[in-house]
Amino acid sequence: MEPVIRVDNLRKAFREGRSVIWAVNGVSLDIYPGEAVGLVGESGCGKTTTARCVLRLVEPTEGRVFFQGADMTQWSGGHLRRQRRFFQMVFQDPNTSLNPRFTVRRTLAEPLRLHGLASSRRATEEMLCETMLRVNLEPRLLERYPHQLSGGQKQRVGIARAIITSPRFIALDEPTSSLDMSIRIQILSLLQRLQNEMNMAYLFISHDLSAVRFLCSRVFVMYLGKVVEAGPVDEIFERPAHPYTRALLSAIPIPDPKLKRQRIILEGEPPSLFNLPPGCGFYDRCWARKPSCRGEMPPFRDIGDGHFVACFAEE
Amino acid sequence: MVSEPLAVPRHREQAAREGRAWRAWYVLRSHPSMIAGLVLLAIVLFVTIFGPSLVPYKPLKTDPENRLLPPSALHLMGTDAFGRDILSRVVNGARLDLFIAFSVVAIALGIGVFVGMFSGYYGGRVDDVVMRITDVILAFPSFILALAITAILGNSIPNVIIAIAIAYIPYFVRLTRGEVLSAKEREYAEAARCVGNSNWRIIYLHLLPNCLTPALVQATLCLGWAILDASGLAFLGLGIRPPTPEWGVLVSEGSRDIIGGQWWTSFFPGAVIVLTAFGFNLVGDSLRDVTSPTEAVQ
Amino acid sequence: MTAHDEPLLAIRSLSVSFPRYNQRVRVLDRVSFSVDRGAFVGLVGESGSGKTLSSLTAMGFLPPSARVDEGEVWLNGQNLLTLPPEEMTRLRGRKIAMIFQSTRSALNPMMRVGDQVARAIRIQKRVGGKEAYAEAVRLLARVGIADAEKRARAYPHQLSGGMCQRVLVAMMLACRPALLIADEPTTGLDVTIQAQIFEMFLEIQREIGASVLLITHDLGVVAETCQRVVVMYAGQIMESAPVASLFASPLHPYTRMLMRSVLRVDRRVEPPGAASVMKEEITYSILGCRFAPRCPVALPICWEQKPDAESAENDHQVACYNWRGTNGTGHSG
Repeated sequence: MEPVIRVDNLRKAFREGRSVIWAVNGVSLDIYPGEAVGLVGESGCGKTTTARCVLRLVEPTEGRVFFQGADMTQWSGGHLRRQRRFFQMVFQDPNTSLNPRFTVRRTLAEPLRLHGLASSRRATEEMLCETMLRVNLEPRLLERYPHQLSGGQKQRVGIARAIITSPRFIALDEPTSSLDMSIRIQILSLLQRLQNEMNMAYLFISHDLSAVRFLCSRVFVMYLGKVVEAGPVDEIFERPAHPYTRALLSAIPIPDPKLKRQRIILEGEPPSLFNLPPGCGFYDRCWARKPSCRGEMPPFRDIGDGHFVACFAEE
Repeated sequence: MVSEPLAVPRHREQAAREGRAWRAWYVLRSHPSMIAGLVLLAIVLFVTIFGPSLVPYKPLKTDPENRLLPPSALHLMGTDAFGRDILSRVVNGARLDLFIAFSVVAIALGIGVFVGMFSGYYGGRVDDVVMRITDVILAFPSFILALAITAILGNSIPNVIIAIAIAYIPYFVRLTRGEVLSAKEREYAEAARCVGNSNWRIIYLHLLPNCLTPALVQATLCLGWAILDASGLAFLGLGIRPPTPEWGVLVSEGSRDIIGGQWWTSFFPGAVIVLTAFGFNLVGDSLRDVTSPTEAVQ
Repeated sequence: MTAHDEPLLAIRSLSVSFPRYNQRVRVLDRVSFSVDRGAFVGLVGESGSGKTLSSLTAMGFLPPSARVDEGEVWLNGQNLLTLPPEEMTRLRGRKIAMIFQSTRSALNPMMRVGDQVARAIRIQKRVGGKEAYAEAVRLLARVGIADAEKRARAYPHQLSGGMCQRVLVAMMLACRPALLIADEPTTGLDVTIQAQIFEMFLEIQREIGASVLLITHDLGVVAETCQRVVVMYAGQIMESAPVASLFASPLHPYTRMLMRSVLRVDRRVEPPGAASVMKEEITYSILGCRFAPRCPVALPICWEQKPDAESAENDHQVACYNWRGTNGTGHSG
């Protein structure tokens, strides 16, 4: 089976005055039809930039992205625009991702019009209502403006906008981070149901690993622009191999006061992307480090069960 | 101890009674200067539209026997050196002045916003060039610049309009560019690109409505300034010349009579200029207060 | 009952309203809770619950348009709401301190952080400039800032969010307040940094013996750090209990709903059934319990009259007429 999305050694540089930082520094991953892949890491790890490069909202500096086998990075502007109906994005903050001057109707009808998906007003109307109902919104809300909707409703509109063209792939950039707790799980359940109904592939970007555990079947862990660990969700969460992943998982508070946990507290802070030392970026904070870790970047190796890790330490 | 009646009703969710019209009225009530300005402008507008058919005298009709008569029941604003009724001339002049003001602002707003959006969105060299050009234009006081341009182009109403508009365009370019610089970083701009909009659609359909507010406020203020500039130019003898009844022309003609003690020939046109410009200013300033981000009453 | 048994902070029936056009909206409605000496209390709620506003009231930081309709805030035998402003200013920092969410804007951007901490020290003790600065560097090291000497000369914008938060804790250490209010202190910080901050926080708290009121929406943090939890919704207190009791048997329908919605990292949570799909809008205009529109077990009286806090076992209080009426989904896992 061919992956919907294949990312091959993606790199993205940003210029900041004289210096150059590599926000994404050699990321490769693939996403198969119908699966939800999580991309996790903390701030500055490059996950958001990776997602934007995959959709070519930001142009990659190096590397390739393949959509259903075709090399997206080579497409012309016009062709790219026309293909956009097949890959969409749900944005983080529903308060800023909807145009405040557009009614919900206008926001949702636009993709239909741009891609010629509705031949008549009647057809448009049907598609609008159908999509609204799919995301559990009453069609009468079509006439509302974003400021007249609640946070959860706004995010559903964002989701509706992404699915209305029946895409094959959706990148979700922290879609629940701005929402309250009780709404979060509803939106995630909605996303899961939509995925099953419409057979879409997801790239779910988040710093919230509990959301990833809920939604995703595979996960990639990023640190300082590189993927340090990857594999099936249960495998990674229960048997994390990379020291960073282990620290990350142990840092997340669990809502159960009876659990006594052995918490790994990391020292220091991530190094600045401006002055990346050679070798493994996690060296300074790693308790399992060896001199060889400073010398060169550990290769990504298979440790069985579809579990990959970039680390020299033997677990 | 519940001290004060809470929002009506006692139970069940309160429907959003406050429609937009009601809220607009509430805001209006708290800004007396806006009301004053609107009243002034309403009067001016009324005079402009209906005035010329209501005044008893023709503005160009001379009547040498009745020259320089002070204000009276027959001639509410008196007559000028040629015996023409000043009130009629002022009222007719309103049409011309307002036409000039609105034309100037329409041109400056139209061009300025278009250029500002484009320049701000694309940035880079284009933006640099546009900014340097606006810097040059803004280096001149607008009146002087309009004066110079009119002198070059010649005296006619279209030339005056063009001259003043050129002086105002940079303001609109700057204001809109400032707005689009931040608007283009918003997520909805990115989302617009993501669904497949071309750059032009993003700039002019998605971003523009969100960037217009400061420009519209400035437009209101510019309406007032344009009247001052146009009549100023006419007063100096540039642009519009007598016998066209334009307020600045009237002031200029009347200025010769002050020496002889006939104050009314220049006073009334002058007063009308001031009041109209003031009216626009009041509305514009209040609009600026109302639309500024700190005014969120929510 | 000796003075020591009295809670350090006691908020009684506090109601605060804001104007909205020509009406007043009662954003806090008869809020009552307390913080004992040396206790670590979590104030939990979602957005619009009024948790931040409650603490701002305690600190005397209400905006001018807000009005306290009724209620008292007792700190050490004094009603803070009746204190003259100068008295309140004296109390701030010494007796009661607050850490805000947006750390960087809580620090003066024009002053080096070492100087800011030194200034906080000088407010508390009569020491000279040099001595205060030396102490400031020591405190910065104490809160885990490596290379404290060098960092003390930095400006806030040169430091990361986590470090700014530590600077604020250092300032707070200098003041040694009896009560520390921390309002979502780790918002926007990475989870590994968050863990560090809380660890440091707990140490400091134990060292100076302060009481802590932690405002948060994160039940995980509450479970791991707090001794007691107070749950708020739409400006009303719904439930308050020792932490173990709250998680083991949440009594209020709102708390139960929250517990069911929480995602976990140690196992996959079941998606909620269709019956739990709830509306979100909060209304402040209900005279009774404000959770009534979303409550699966609401009775007619719930809309009319606000329930008083009722004691279930074990210092576990719940403000609900129908907490015994189960809705079939039982307790959280």
